[in-house]
This record gives sequence, structure tokens and C-alpha cells, in this order.
Amino acid sequence: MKAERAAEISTIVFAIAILVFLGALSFQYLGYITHGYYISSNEKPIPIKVIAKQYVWEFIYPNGTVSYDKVVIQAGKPYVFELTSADVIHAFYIVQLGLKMQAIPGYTYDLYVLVNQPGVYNIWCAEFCGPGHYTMKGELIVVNATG
Amino acid sequence: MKLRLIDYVAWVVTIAVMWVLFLWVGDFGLLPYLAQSPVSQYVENLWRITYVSASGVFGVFMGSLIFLSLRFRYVEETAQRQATRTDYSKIVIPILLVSGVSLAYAMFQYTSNLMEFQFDFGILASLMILLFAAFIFVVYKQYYE
Repeated sequence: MKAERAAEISTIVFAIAILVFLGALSFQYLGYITHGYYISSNEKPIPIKVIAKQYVWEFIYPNGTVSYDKVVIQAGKPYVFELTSADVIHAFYIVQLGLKMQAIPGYTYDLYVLVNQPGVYNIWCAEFCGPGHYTMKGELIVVNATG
Repeated sequence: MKLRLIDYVAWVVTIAVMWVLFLWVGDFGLLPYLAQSPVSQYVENLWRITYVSASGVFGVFMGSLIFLSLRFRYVEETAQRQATRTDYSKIVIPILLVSGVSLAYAMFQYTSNLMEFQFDFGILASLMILLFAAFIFVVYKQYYE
């Protein structure tokens, strides 16, 4: 009976240890992602305004240029998407980064982004926002810093 | 009924097979479609730890379920039935496994973008669940009907 008891206790302890470890790691990563701690302090993130509307993503660059459903950034450079909504609640989801944040009318949230690999990545609305929700797609285009 | 050394070895092997199978189905916790970014690295780290941990739980429970179902089956009834009926599990199980693996392999040949990958992955996961369900169904039909 002792062996069974030891197995039972070790199972519980192992499960607790894994969950605590995952919780602590998630908490640490959440801090990095939310506050952009992974960006070195001598680099200032470039702000890009993102306004979600039924059913389009509007991007406003620092020089005032506006684009719809497409945003171009440079690889290896930090950016901060200042995210808000003009109508209903949306969610800004960059699929290949595994990164998602809600866009809520009246609030602006900062979403720090640093991509090291050039490419075209999907932006989807991840919150049902109306009958055209499924058409609310965009692209994050990451180009080489030199080109 | 006391377990012998060979039983313990079979138990551990069954658990190990289920563990490796689970890892293989989930690409060993890797997310190859993610871009190179600190954020995606965080996401992948968390996913991999969660998936590998879950594989251990799956291996122990599914492996034990299969092993114990077979090891402690009702022997007398089985002995009577074996004389009169066809052992259809010897046909059905290999067909299920081979068709499942073949179908999964065929599907992955046509995966070229993210949405297809996600669709195929969902189909594959459903298929594996179906295979396990079919496997368990066959085992139970064979020994407990």
C-alpha cells in the first residue's frame, strides 16, 4: 500500500509543480508582451495607430500616411500598435505571432511588436463584430530593414 | 491476479507508445507556422511545455486503459468465444491504423498555407480521436460483448 500512496502523492505534486511553473512562466511572459520588456531600452518603438472599423483595419503611420488592411514594418525594429475601435468591439489577431488584443471603443491599448523574419503575416479579427466579421482580414508585411 | 515482470514491461511499453503517438500527432509541441519574434517564442515555449506535459498524462491514462483492459479481461468467456468466432480485431485494428496514417500523410502533402494547415491539423486530430475510439470499441467488442 505504501507504493500506491507514494505514486498518488507524487502524481499530485508533479501536477502542482508543472502548473505552478507554467503559471509563473506565463505571468513573466505576459509582462514582457504587455509592456514590451523584451525591447532593448535604447530602442524606442515606432507608434502606429490602428483603428478597427466594421470591417476594415485602418493604420495611421507617424507621418500621417493612412493605409487599410495592410501595414508595412521593418524586420528587427520595434513597433507599438496603438489599438482602438471606432464602432464595436474587435480583436486584433496576428496569427503567426500568436498575438491577440481586443480593440474596444473609447480605449487605446498598446501592442508591442518586433518581428525578426521578413514575410507576409495574417491579421484577423478574432472577436465577432457583425455579419461581415469574416471579411475583416489584413496583412502585416515585414520587410528587410535595408530594403 | 498478480502481475508478472513481463506484464509490467508491457504496461510501460504501452504507455510509452501512447506517449510518443500523442507527441507525434502534435508535432512534438512545435508550432512551425509561427514567425521569428520574441512574442511567438514565448507562445511556442508555453505551448511546448503544456503539450509535453499533456502527453505524459495522455500516455499514462490511455496506455493504462488499454493495458489493463486487455490484461484483466474476462478470460473464461474469452476462451469460449475464441473457439467459435473470428478474431476480427486482427483485421480491423491494422486497417484502422494503416488507413489513419496513410490519410494523415496524404493530407499533409497538400498543406501549403496556414489555413490549410489548421484545417488539416483539425482533421488529423479528429481522425486520431476516431481511431482511438474505434480501437477501444473493437477491444471491448472483442472481449466484453
